[in-house]
Amino acid sequence: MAHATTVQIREEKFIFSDKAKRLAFILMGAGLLLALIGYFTYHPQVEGFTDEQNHHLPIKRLLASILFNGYFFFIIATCAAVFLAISQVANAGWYVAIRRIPEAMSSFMPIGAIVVFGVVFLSLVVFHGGIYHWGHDGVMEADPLLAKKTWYLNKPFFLIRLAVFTAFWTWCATMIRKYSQNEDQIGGLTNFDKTFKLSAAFLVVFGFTFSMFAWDITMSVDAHWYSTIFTIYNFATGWVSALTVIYLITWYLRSNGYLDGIASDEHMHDLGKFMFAFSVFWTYMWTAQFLLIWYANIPEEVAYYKPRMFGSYKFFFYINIVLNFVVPFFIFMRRGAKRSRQVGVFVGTCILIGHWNDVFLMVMPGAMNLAAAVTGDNPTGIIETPSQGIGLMEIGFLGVFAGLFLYITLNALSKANLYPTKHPFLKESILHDTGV
Amino acid sequence: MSYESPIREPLVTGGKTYADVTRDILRPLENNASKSWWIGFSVSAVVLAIWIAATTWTMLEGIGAWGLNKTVGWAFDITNFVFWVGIGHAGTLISAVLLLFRQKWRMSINRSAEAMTIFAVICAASFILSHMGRPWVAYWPIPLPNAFGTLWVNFNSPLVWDVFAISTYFSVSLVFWYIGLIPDIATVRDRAEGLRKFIYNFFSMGWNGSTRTWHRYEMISLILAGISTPLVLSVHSIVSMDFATSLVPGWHTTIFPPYFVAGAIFSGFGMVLTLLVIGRVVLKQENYITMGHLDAMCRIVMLTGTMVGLAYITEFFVAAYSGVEYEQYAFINRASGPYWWSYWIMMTCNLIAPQVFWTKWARSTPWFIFLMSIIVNIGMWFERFVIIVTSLHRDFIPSSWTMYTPTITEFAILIGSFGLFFTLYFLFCKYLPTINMAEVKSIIPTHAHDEHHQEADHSTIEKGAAHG
Amino acid sequence: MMLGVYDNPDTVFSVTENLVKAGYDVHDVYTPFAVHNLDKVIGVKRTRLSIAAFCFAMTGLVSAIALQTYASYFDWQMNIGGKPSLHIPTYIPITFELSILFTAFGMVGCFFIVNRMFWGRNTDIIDLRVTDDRFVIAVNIHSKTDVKALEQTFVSGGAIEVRERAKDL
Repeated sequence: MAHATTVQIREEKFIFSDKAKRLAFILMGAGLLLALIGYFTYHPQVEGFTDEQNHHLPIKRLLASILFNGYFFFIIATCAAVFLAISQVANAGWYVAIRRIPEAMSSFMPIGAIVVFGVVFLSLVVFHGGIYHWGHDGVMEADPLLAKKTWYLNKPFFLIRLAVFTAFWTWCATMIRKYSQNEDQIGGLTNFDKTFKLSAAFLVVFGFTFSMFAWDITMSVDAHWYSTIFTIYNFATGWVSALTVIYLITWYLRSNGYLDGIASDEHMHDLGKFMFAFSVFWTYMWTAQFLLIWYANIPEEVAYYKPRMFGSYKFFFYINIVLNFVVPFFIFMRRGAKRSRQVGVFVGTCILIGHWNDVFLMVMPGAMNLAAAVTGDNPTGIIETPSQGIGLMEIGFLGVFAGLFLYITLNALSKANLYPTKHPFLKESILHDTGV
Repeated sequence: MSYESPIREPLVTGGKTYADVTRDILRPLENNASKSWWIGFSVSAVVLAIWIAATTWTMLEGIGAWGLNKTVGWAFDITNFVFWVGIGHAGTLISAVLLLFRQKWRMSINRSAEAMTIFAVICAASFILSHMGRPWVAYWPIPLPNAFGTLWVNFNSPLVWDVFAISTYFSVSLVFWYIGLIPDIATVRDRAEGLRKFIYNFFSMGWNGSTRTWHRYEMISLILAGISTPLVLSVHSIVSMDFATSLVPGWHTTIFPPYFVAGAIFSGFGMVLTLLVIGRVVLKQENYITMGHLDAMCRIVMLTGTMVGLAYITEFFVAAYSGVEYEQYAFINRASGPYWWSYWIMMTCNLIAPQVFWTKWARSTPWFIFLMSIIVNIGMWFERFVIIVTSLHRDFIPSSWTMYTPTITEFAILIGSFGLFFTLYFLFCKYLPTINMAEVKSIIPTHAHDEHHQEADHSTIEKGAAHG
Repeated sequence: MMLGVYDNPDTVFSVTENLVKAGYDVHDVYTPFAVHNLDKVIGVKRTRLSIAAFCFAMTGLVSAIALQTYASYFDWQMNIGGKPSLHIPTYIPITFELSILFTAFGMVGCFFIVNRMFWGRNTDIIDLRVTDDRFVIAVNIHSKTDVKALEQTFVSGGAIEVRERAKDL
């Protein structure tokens, strides 16, 4: 109302500094080094396991570390694309000033998809199962419950649908990015309209295919177990993490003098509000799944929570709620916290660690278990491996993928203008005022 | 006033001034009731009489007046309860969630949607009372030492959670609605005389429109919206847990909470469309509830319908995937058992029919939208029927297998509950402003600077276009 | 007290800004709807109702947990379905609901108290049209106030009516 309706729209490019590049490479290099050290120094002596059983663990842990880290960053990149699509379809205006950040994040999708596909392929085909219990030779036939799942859990179908889904999402994200950059050149509304249509189609397909994707990659690690909410729960994890990464990158850019007069504290406030709201949403999904399974107390279902809640993963189970719910809920409730860089970066880091831990907790317990003969004493054919904790391999691959993600994102960010100069809602976004 | 891009459609059409808004929206309040109002009100009152008669009969006769049996001990009553609670979700959703997401088109529909919420929850509550069979002991689920002895209610029971959830939802929605009404009641007060002035003055609580008051008012509106959003989600989640905490195949599934919430939003928007497509014409509010509003609501109906459909498919799929034969049977039985028709009505109305809203024609043809909104309501009623009856009628022991047929009394209560709902709604239309005037005034472009700015913006866009 | 009556939120906004800059004692501005940022211009302190809301939420949270633990664990334990008597996960729904209930009622109650609003209150309305389509700026007159200049500012800002009001609010 103060009629600050004149805005300066100018070309602004992000320069991917050598310092930042070095940081990304150091993360990747050090991460890889740590992971290798971790792998070669990991000689587990689990009590009660034979030497041969112990011998299986290092490769399982290596594959599982790559998978859950790759999956984590892949769903962050995918959810960044979903963020673009949803904002587009909802005709949102406020986010335009920071639109290039999710666009850049989504450019990690091809690599993420290759990593996920690669590690699944290695697991299922090269290592005959690896982290997927059901992929071990003979398990599907011997286990009466799994025998009923062969129509869905079989290697060719699994790999084909994984490839098709990820390729389609990646294509959609690439096109959305391309339209946005075309818009910078020619302006007008043609690209805006095209993005709208593509986004709607993408969201519908994504809704249905992400379900299967999440069942495949993380739920089928515990092949006996199932939960109908699992997809939405996974999506909540990726979505909150993606919002957090957008928030953190925006702070990084702003503190380096970029987006001056374009993205303001108002945008931080709104992103922070989303992080707050969707942390609550995540907690809702978490509670829905946990409470119903805890309440009904059906042996087949509580088998999933038993090692996590009472077994050796206890610490990770409880810290999960602290980092993903308690921290964002109580700190981000205040208006000032969302607008403060120090507090915001602290909360953002907690959320990211929390959701990384969440994905760790989904994959690790099931992935490290050993297959055994189905007998009367052991009807599930599973020998549980106690938690091996978070070690060099998990941290190492976190470094590798974080570095890779940063490098690709920042590199993509430096390729185009830092904000879409001819987006029809740009001015609305620059003058955005949350009103509180 | 925050800046709006010129490519956005205006939310209020017809070049209305502030005084026009007041006059247009208060027209039904300040004039004698129209003939159409009297017809509608009388028909609703007659249907309400059916409800009173049928409910009274149930109280006198007991639950034996219904078609329940030993296996299906929960049917029409709980179906109707969940149906009405679901309808009651759109109001708070529109006000709260859309406020948080800054969807300004909510402003001309939130008042009537919130009213709808409150009346629908009243209808839902009436089913809780009547299905208890002994409504005079309705205070038992309240946590008092049981019958004032030493035993407490069972806090493990989702039915006790429901008591807390529904009563919290009802009272918080009422407060939210009333807070929104205060400035508008003050508007009525300042134009009225005599007894009307006295009554509206009483309820306006001395509202004076000062900036200090507005400042606090905006803060509490925002916080109420903030707390209502998880409240809406929690209420239907808890309703879903009435089923999902059990061990009954088809009921015990972890997706139930979000799936019920999506269904509630879907059916709520269906009912909002039913009311507003008619209401905007009868109350001459086409400039406030524009085709753009209907379009946006149709999109939400399509979105939530697809989400509900996704949940149906997920359930079906996971049952197949689970390898648990009881689960599998429950779902096969839904689709091809004796109640197959109800399953396919549900699928057609909820998943398939809303897909027509992909076409622009469907979203911009009022009679068709009205038809669709009825279809959505029917579909969502059948969803609850399918979940409840088809899961129950095949008990664990085949010797207990049975069928459920509702009695006339049950039908009468269901139909009569619409009478209760519409009677309240017609009274609301006559005595309270059906559109939030204060909010709508805030989104009307301020006349003075309006035109000249729009021009400036068009030129930016065109310059952009000319670049390439 | 001098009142300037306007019909446009934008002019009210700029006139109020000018008045505050010129050092007049702006009592309040009366509007039919919340004019964005006007509260900041006349220096309304940020309300602490949000803090009150948080306190009520915590009260609700503690009361709910206290009620449930007392009733189902300390006072009278019941074995239903073999569930533990101190069944923390099932406390979640009721605790959540009561927190919301306390927040809503407590905060709205505080809102009424700070605004001195209650049922049946007869308020001194500055102008009947402020709930319709008029915006009124009220400026307090002190001994040193230059009334002529004030009137001039009102009129040049586009006031459709300027009048004096004897009674203070």
